[in-house]
This record gives sequence, structure tokens and C-alpha cells, in this order.
Amino acid sequence: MKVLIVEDNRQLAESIHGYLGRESYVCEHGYTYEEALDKLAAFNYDSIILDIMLPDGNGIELLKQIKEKKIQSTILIISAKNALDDKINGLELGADDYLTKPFHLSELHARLKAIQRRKNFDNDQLVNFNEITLNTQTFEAKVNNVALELTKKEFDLLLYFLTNKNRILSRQSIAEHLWGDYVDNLDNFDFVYQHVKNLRKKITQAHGKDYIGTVYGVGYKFNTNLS
Amino acid sequence: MKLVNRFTIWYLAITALVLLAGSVIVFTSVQHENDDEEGRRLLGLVQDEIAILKGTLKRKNATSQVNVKEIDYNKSEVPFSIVDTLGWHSEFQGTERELIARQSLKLNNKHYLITAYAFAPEPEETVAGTIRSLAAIFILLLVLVGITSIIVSRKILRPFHLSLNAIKTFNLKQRENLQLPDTRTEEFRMLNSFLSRMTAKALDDYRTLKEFSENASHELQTPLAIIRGKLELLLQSEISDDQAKLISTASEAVDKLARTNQALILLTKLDNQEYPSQPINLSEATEKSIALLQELIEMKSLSLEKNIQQDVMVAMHPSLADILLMNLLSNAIRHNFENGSIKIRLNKRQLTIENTGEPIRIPTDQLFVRFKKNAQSSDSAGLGLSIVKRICEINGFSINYYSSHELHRLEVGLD
Repeated sequence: MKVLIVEDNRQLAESIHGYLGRESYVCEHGYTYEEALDKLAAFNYDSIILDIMLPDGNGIELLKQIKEKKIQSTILIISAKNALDDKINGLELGADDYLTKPFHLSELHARLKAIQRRKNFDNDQLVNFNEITLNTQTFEAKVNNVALELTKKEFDLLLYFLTNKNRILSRQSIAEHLWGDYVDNLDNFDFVYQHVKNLRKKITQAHGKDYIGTVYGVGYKFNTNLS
Repeated sequence: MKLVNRFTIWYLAITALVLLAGSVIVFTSVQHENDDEEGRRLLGLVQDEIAILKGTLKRKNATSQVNVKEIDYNKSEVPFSIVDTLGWHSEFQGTERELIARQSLKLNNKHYLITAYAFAPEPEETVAGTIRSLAAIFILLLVLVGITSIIVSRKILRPFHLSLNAIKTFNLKQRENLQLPDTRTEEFRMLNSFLSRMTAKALDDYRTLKEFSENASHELQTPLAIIRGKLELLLQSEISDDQAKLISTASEAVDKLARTNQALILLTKLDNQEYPSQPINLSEATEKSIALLQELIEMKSLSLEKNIQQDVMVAMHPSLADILLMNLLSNAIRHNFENGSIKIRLNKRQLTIENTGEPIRIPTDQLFVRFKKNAQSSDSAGLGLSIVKRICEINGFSINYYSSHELHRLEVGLD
């Protein structure tokens, strides 16, 4: 999958590149408005990660250009500006999702995947891994073709793990993924622990493998190569 | 007491004193003039009588006021003199003040004593007259001063009242210069120019401070994002468990910093009034928020009792309603006991959230202060309730916290 990262901050762009690069994404950079426009004119991308505050032109402006030229990429806006106007503006102008800086790279990846699934709704609504199957449209989870009784949060959690396989997912990033902006007010680690515990129990009860491992003091990891 | 009333009272008190002193002066001079006049008249009568006696004047008509009698010739001549005494007044049937003038005259070997009488007004009568007229003057003054003071306070003090009103409505957060009326009064001009300068300075300082904190918050976002990203990448590399834990701890601190920063940005935006109001259904928003937190309530085994009236409409920004509700509800969950309880009540007048929990250890009025926390070491940034308070202020809601031992109640008045 080809992704264009439009972000003026090189460090941040490289972090994104570093994370996505390992997931067989092909990433290219556009550090300025002009660069991004040039790249968009020359190549096709599946996704565009777009920083709204660019030095030589507003990202919203770029978004308008993309829509005018009927470029079919999915668009994920990232912005330090948590302004509601930008969010609404961006979504109204056809962006698919909006993420506020600072974000977790795993969250960025999950969002990117999610909007990708939404766009290609004719095929890939199913997320498969070995015996586990998730239908992101009906929120059905199956292990060995047996339906699992998962809550909405547990479903989200499993999908988050499957999106970020073999990655250490910190407790904060999980908490933020599940509860969004309100995570500040929650004793999130207990809740994350509870949710992960329940999810593991439900999978193993359905005779699935216990892929989810604890990284002590840090978080959790979905291990694909269990011995 | 109003300034104009103070002026009036002082003025009237001084006037009363002056009138009092004046009345003594008036009394003595009236009395004196009277006696003088009467004395001259008596002198005239006596001289007329002498002239008649000498034969140079013919008597026109007899008068009972003059009396002539012969006395011993050997006595020495009495010069003209007036005596002030009391005499019997037959008409009034009482004693009255009487002036008696005397002079003796030796003529043709006879000695005549001429006496003339006149009843004079008594001092009491003069006093009463004086007091009556001065009282009338005083009352007239009172009325005039009263009316004048009303007019004066309306007209002369008008610029002052306008300035007062302008200051009353002045608010740093509205970022508008103070509009003061023109005036010709020197003192008010000085006051106004002082006020203008002071408020302009305050506005300027406030703006600088605001810009600084706004920029600081925004500028922090990108470095935070970089740190977070790099730590995350580091976490995914080949590292030992110990290293992973170090990274994780650092990353948690960054998260906290990021959240605090975002809360501060939100507070700034609230101050800047960037959230226009619109009618929203608070009942639905409340139900939605409870649903979002349902699992957390269950995990802590809290008993939830809700009494939510249907379709309570309020005017506020939908995001602010969500932030308000989520903050209050998650606080009620967070600061609760295992197996505790939460009661949520919503009607047209107020939203009440009551929960069990540890008694708080800081003064209740400090709960809404930024960065004030019941336990300073706790994980939260301590901005939740200041955000709640600010949202309430912006939307004209009242907010009150009541606590009795292990029961806490937050009331948001929606009127």
C-alpha cells in the first residue's frame, strides 16, 4: 500500500515512515504544500496522511485541491491544532478521519487501516488471522468459525491487536484507542487489564490460541509466532 | 450614601447654623430699630407738647399718650430720657412692654414734667416672627436644594455614572477597550483618562499573556508528537525487558504532559469563546455519556441510579456538553469506592450527580482551581473540574459542590 505523508516536521514524518514501513507500506514524503502537490500530480497513493498546518500553504487548501482533482486516495488529517473548526472543515471537505497530535503511531496505523476498509467496502470487510475472523461491518468475531460473544470494546481491542500484530502496545495507547479523549479521567490501566484479561479468556475458551502476551510493566503484544 | 446626598446634608447643616446665627442678628437689629423708631416718635410727641406749652404750636387733637403735670419748681430740670418698663394695657387686659419718655421744662416760673407712653412689641413676639420667617426660608431652601441635588446628580454626575457602568461591564476576556464618555469636568476627565490607560494596559498584558500561553501550548504539540513517536519506535526495536520498562515510563510521562497540554488548550479556547451555543438535548447527551462509561461502572461494581427527565433542552455547544458530562461522570466513577453508588438526576432546572467516595481533604472552593487535586500525587492533571467550571460559566450555569463525609454531590443549575 502506498502512502503519502504530508508533514512539514521531518522527525515526525520519519517516525510515521518508520512505523508504517515495517507493515509493508510504501511511504513517500511531501514536506511542503508544493512538494505534496507535485507528488500527487505524478503518482497515485492509496492514502494521504495530511498535516493541516503546513509552512507554505494551509493543509485545508491542499485538501481542496485533492478533492478538485478527484484524487481517490483516503485522507487522514493530522494536526496540532485541536480546533473544532479544522476538524469539521476537514471532514466536510472530504477527509476520512482526523487525528490530533501527539498521537500514538499504533493509533495512526489503526485509523489508516480502518478508513482503508471503509473505502473498499466491496471486498475486505473481514480481518483474518489464522483461526480468528473479525467482520468490521457486523462486529462479529469468530474463532474456528464459532461466534465469540464480545462487547464493543473487546471487539475494538481485538481489531487493534490484529492491526498492530507483533507490536508492543502500551497500556496508554490501548486506553486512548478504546476511550478516546476522555482517558485522562480514568484509572485506565486497571480497565485495560480487565478488558485484555476478558478478551484472552473468551478466545481461549473458544479453543483459540492465546496470542496476546503481557509485556510486563509496559503493555501487551499480539504474537503471531507462538511456539 | 450617595455623594450628592452627602453634599446636600453638609450644605443644609451649614445653612441651618447660619440661619440660627442670622436669626439672633435679625432679632437684635429688628428690636433695636423698633425701639429707635419708637423713641424718635416719643421725642416728637414730647417736643410737640413743649411747643404747645410755649405757645408756638396749636394743639391739633388731644392724645392720651402724652401727659403733662406740674412738679416742684426747685427740682432741677430733667433732660429727655426713655425708660423701658412694663405697663398695664387696658385693651389687652395684660401687662405689655412699655416705653416711657420724660422731660421737664421750666417755663413762666412753672416746672412741667412731660411724659409720653408707647407700647412696644415684646421680644418674644419678635423672636417668634423671626423664627417663622427663617423657618420658611429654610424649608424653601430644603425643597430647592432637594430638587437641585436630583438634577445635579443626573446632569453633573452623569459622566461619572457612565464611567462607573463602563467599568462594571468591562471584562478582560472580551478584549474590548473601555469606552468612556466625554466630559467637561476636570476631575472626571482625569479619572477617565486614568481608567483608559489602566484598562488598556491590563488588556495589553492580558493579550500578551494569552498569546504566550496559546503559542506555548501549540508549539509543545509537535515536539511531544515527535517524542511519543520515537519512543514508540524504540519500543518496537530489539530491546530488553528492562529497557522496555524505561521507555514505557518515559512514554507515560509524555502522555500525561500531552493530556495536560490539551486540557490547557481547551481552557484557552473556552476563554476565547470559540464554542458557539446551539440548542441540544441534554437528556440524550447524558444517556450517551453514561452508556460510554457503562463498562467502567460495572467494572468497579458501582450501583447506578438514574432519574433523567426526557428532552431537557439547553443552549450550549454539543462538544462542551460531552466534555462537561464525561468529566463529571468519570470523576464520580474515579473517586468512588468499589461497590459504591452513583446517582444521576436531570430535570429542567438542574443536573445532579451524587457519588460515594473518600472524604475530600482540600477546601471545597479549591476543587475548581486549576491543578488543585485531592491527592497531589494522583495521575490526573487536575484540570477536569476547572474545565467543568469554565464550561458552566460560559453557558451561564451555576455549579456547586456539596460534601458530607463519604457522600459527594455536584449540582449544575441549568436556569
